[in-house]
Amino acid sequence: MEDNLRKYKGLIELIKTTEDVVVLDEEMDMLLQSLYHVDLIKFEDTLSKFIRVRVATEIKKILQAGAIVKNEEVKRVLSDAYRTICALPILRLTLAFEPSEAVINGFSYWSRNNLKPGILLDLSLDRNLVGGAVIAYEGKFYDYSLRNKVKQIFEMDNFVI
Amino acid sequence: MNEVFLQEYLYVFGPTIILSLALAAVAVSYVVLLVRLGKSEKDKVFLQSKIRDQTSQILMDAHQRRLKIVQEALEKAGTIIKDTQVVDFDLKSQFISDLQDMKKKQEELLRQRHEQISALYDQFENSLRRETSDQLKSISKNMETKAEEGIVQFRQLIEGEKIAISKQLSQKYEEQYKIVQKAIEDYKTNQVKKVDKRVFDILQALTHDVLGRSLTLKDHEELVQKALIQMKTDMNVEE
Repeated sequence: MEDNLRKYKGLIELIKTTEDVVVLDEEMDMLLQSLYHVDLIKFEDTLSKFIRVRVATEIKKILQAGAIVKNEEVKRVLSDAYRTICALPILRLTLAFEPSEAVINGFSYWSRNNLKPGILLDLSLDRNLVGGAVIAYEGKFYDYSLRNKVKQIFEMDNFVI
Repeated sequence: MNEVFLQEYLYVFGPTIILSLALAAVAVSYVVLLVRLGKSEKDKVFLQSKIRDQTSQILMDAHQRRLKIVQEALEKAGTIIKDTQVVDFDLKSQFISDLQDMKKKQEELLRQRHEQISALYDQFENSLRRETSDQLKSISKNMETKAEEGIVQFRQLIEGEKIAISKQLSQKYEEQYKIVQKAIEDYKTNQVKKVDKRVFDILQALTHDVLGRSLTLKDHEELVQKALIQMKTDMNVEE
């Protein structure tokens, strides 16, 4: 697993959330379909026209590094990369606001450096949380929302309005 | 020629002649038989008349003898009846006399018995009256005693029941009081919970309105960062 993470590091860095995985899934489908042609012209055409530039660049880098030219080998490498990404650990975050791209990148960077490399974010929105986040990770549930904090204060015995 | 004729004649008439002879023999024997039959008929008539005569004679004898026997029997019966009538008269008078004596004796005996029975009946009646009176007195006394005892027992029973009922009532009253008290407590708790929830909802809405408006994207980001750091700390603590 760690070898694969190293091998496909560039591609994994581009895939930060589960939504990115969905988009990548569509791209992989197109690329694998293009490989049914005898030569690689169709594949290169698909890579340059339909795949996001950064993703296409990373795929090209992977193929060049392995000196892969045959259809079957390309198919095998792409499937292996896709399987590696699908097997990445997931951190579920429920937020009280809609985060920007930069904010998501920041959360992903922190998670991959502090929790596990290659971790994927699964984001959802619940404005009732007021602030903070509800986190589910490795089968455990953590509520660090402001709503929960208010609730805790309210449930204290010596609480007086 | 004559011989031939004779032979033919014999040939034709021979059987007829033989047959005629046989027929004649049969006729003769039949005549003889008829003669014999006539003779035997005469013998039969003679014998029948002879039997009839002898039978009549026997019947006549028997009739005469029977008449004689009946006559003798009548005479004997007359003699016997005469003797019997004489004896019967004496016996009858004796019997009547005995009967009258016996009647008198029986009447006397019956009168005596009647007197005895009357005396016994009077005695029995007096005794019975006396005994009944005594028994009635005894029964009424017993009844009085038993009634008094019964009243005492009944009074004791009533007292006991009164105590038991009062105990049961007080127990039931306590149980009911506890049930009602618990129901009131439950109701109070429920109402307080409802109020708590309502207050919490109001507070949450207020917090949401106040904080939600006041929190910037930067604030939100920082809060999430803090949450992630806190989670990591908590995970380390758990491990």
